[in-house]
Amino acid sequence: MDTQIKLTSAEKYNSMESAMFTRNILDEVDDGTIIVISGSLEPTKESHLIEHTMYNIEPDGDFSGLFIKSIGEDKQENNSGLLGKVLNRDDDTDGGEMQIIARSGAIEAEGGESEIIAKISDIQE
Amino acid sequence: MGIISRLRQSVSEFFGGSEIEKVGVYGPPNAGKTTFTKQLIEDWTEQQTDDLSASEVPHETRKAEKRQVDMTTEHGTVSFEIVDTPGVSTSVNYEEFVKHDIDKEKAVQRSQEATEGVAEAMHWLREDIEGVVYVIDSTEDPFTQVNTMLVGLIESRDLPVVILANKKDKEDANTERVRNAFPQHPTVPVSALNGDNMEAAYSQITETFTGGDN
Repeated sequence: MDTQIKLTSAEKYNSMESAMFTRNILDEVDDGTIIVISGSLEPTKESHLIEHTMYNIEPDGDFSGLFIKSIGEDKQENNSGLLGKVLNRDDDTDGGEMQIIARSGAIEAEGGESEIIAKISDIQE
Repeated sequence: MGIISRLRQSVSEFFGGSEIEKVGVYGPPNAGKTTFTKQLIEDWTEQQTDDLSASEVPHETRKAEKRQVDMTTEHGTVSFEIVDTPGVSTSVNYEEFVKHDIDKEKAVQRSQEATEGVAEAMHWLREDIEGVVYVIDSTEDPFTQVNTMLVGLIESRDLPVVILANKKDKEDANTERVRNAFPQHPTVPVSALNGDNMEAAYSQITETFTGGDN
């Protein structure tokens, strides 16, 4: 399965109807895509995503759920300043946050979070 | 219903009781939700808790358990159904259970039950629950995706919440880190396992759920 990194905005997902949003995310991660969202998903959206992820898990299969992580300046962890480089902009409309969503295990398979963030940074450049 | 419960119910009815009817005990797996719920039920009811099982294996609670509780402290009386929910996570892998010496067939079944339990818990938090006791293991980093998402969801619904910084008896516990992670909400350090500081937790629960503070 080829891994692709997709950069997108939280506004796009937050404006979607919940069922469409969850289907969209689950289809994309199923294709091997690592989704990097500039900004934060609304908690309600995220809870819908977790609920529907649970219904899609195959206990004996190859989908065991999602990796979801928020990285931002107001979080404890900011990955050594890489965030600013990744976001690569001066405005502060998203509060300097981003979220990474992938299939569970996909990040480890790509060499870990730092490796993914470095790849995102390369894409931005 | 025993005499103590009847007495509490009478006190509750006299003071008008609480409007919060369903309180969810939420948090990530292994935070101590069931241990807290058992302690609360034993302290405030005459109900048996043998069927509430807590262990170090994640997702030990896979189906929500509900009990009626009447609680009275110096802040008043609250009567509510407490719902011990499965720990919320974004993934469930049966291999996690195999590591705890559970055979594969049972581990797969446990995974299936865990996914259904988490999905239900998420649904209830959006639709049903009217107050939350949020349990965090104070030996762990509180800045996790699950914690920030669930607290964010609780805030978006404007639900009253009490945060418990559990496992304060552990050597590596850092209850201040939990308090600082969510300073907008009342946080009580406890050891549900030892019953340590539970009186303070009950006091905060009645204060918050009677509208005294959140």
